[in-house]
Amino acid sequence: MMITGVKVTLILLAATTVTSLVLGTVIAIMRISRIKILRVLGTLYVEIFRNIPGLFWILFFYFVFPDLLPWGLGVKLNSYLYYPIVAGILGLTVDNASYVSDILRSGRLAIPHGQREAAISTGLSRVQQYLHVLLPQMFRITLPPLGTRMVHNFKNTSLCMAIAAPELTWATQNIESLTFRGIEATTIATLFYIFLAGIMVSMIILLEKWWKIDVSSISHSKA
Amino acid sequence: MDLLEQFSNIKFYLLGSYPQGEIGGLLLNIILALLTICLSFWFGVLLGYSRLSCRLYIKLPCMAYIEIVRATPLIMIIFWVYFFLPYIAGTNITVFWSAVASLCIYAAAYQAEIVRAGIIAVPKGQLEAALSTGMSRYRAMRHVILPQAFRIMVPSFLSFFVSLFKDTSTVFIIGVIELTQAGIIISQREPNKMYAAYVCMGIGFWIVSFSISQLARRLEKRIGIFDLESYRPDACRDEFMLLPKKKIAGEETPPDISCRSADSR
Amino acid sequence: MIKFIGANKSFNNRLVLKNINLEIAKGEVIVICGPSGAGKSTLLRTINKLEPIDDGEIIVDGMYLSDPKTDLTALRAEIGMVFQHFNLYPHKTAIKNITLAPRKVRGLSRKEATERAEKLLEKVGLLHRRDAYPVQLSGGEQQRVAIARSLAMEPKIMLFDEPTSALDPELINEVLDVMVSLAKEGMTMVVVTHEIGFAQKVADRVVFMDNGEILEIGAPPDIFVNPRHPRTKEFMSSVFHIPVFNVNQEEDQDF
Ligand SMILES: Nc1ncnc2c1ncn2[C@@H]1O[C@H](COP(=O)(O)OP(=O)(O)OP(=O)(O)O)[C@@H](O)[C@H]1O
Ligand SMILES: [Mg+2]
Repeated sequence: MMITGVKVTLILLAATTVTSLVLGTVIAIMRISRIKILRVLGTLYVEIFRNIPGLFWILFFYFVFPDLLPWGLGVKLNSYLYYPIVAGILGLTVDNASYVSDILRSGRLAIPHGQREAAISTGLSRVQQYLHVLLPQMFRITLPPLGTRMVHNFKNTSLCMAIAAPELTWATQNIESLTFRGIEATTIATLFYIFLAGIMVSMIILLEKWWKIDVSSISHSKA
Repeated sequence: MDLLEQFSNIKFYLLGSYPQGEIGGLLLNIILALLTICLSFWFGVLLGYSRLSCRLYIKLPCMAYIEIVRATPLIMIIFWVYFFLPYIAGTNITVFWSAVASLCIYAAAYQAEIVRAGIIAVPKGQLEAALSTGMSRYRAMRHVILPQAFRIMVPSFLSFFVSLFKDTSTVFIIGVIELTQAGIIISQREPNKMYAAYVCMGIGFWIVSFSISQLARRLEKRIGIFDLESYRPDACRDEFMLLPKKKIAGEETPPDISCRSADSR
Repeated sequence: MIKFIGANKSFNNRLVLKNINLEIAKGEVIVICGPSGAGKSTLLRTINKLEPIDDGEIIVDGMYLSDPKTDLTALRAEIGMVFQHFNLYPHKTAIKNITLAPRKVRGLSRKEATERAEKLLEKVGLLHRRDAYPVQLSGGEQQRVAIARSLAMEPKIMLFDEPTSALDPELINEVLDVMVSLAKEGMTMVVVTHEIGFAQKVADRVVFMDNGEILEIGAPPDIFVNPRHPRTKEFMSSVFHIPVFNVNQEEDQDF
């Protein structure tokens, strides 16, 4: 049971890290775009999702979301064996993406204006400016807060126990209620969380070292 | 339509079953957050401050505490406290106090980091200037560095408060009837109108959290945020290493400059 | 090649370019100077439409900038620009900085782009630094890479905005040397600079600006040595007193 728990937790972690990075980037770009509607939509998204707990979104996607779907899709979803996991991924993603987009946006603001001008004056198109000049720098500048956010997101996967997604925390509580060996299970699980969070932090530090060369030069421009 | 019907439940959302029973609902979230922040603040200051100590036997336990708590999911901490604190304390604790205790354990670690980052962000010339006017290390800390550090901390402190407020929803798992639990109870009364209860729940969280963030944003504009570059919690300036004796006893002793050189060599 | 016709530009209701009329021929090297806030940078930036003008017209290589049908990306690819603060991409090595635009805009293959970039690096004397990141380069080296980056697009016009004013004095010459050789190859250049030695050596005309207006245009000696406009006189005597002396020395050596 613990093994399944670990597996599900890892799945949740991997899936939400990827999806929330993608969604967060899209929303960050919306918020810094020059098209007003996109900016308004992006800001609206962040204001809504950031001010409501992640737990709420997990519960929402599990209990309410299927009812809102048309054509009986919801019924199918509800009977889907792994729906708790899917709902957990959805809930964690929308919550985490709002933070990611905020962090990335602040990274964009930290890039000197000249970077974009240099890109423009060599004839790069808007998409190319983002792809080759702005986004890579945004991720590098914001790596430390982004990393902290991802560790937070990892810990939030434990909230999925509220909808009985069979992840690690849920497994420990299940063991407790079935066998009363709660202390052992909880200890192991806690150690696992600390261990994995440690690994994530060291991976981020390594990545930072790897990128250090560029990050430190971001401030080269005195402008 | 369904939403309008929810008006009949508004008291339950906001106060729980208060006059008859215990306080609950959104008010309980606010109470939990405020109580936690007040209690854990001093704990956090102590921890953050001690983490900058040059005495390893002070620094290491604080570091371990902070890092372990920050790596553990809040829900795990809640379970630890809920299941095992009664064993240790030997008495039964109400879920409310169990919730407060776990939130405090959790919040203290984060506050400690905010305090530490705040102290580090004060320009080091300030300490040198204070010491050169003949202040003791403790005095310089107390009257020069910490007041400035607290100013710097205000924005991160407020944004942490918002996040703590949202985290109070997690305690529903041990049966505290705060807004989430209240919403779930109502939603299960009428399973086909679930969304209405969730909308009310969301609005409740949103209004409170949005107002605090708005307030935080105002303050940030007035005080000025510190930029990403200077926010490097891991940079530990040894000028700020403190003598544990002074900090714990809270009384003045002459400045001890040997502390740094003794430990680093 | 470049033609300004009655160009006006204002920021926040304040005119920073007033009725600019200027024609720059192919292969000409123009130096713009003037006090801070005169609108030199703004003038330069209107040429590749980093700043649009409010009225008037600018024609660059037959393209009308006010015409909405003008392909801005194509226009900008024809015009190289070098900035005061280099603006190299900090996350890319020197060679990658240079190859990015040719590959993405001109569609060159990696091999072609790299070959071209290596030639240019050799030209600015930095081939041995091809894999260094900007932070590992000195200011002068960064600026030379920036010049190579602009040249990689094979531009018809090069714009320089105070390319040496962020550099330590001993690094200025290595950048100016590159610019001088570029001018001698017949590149059309518009340079905002206060380096009088450079102006004396290669400029065909010097433009003196103040308060958004072009006060005087003339050959370098006319502007620097015996300016007509009182404002120019004042500026030259206050700013260029010592450099003028240096320039004479340099010229003595040259000729
Ligand atoms: N983006 C902008 N928004 C508002 N005002 C601007 C902007 N850019 C320039 N200005 C103003 O336009 C005027 C001309 O600026 P410009 O940068 O062209 O001067 P400059 O001659 O290049 O000066 P310097 O030698 O300091 O670079 C200045 O008064 C400046 O304040
Ligand atoms: Mg300028």
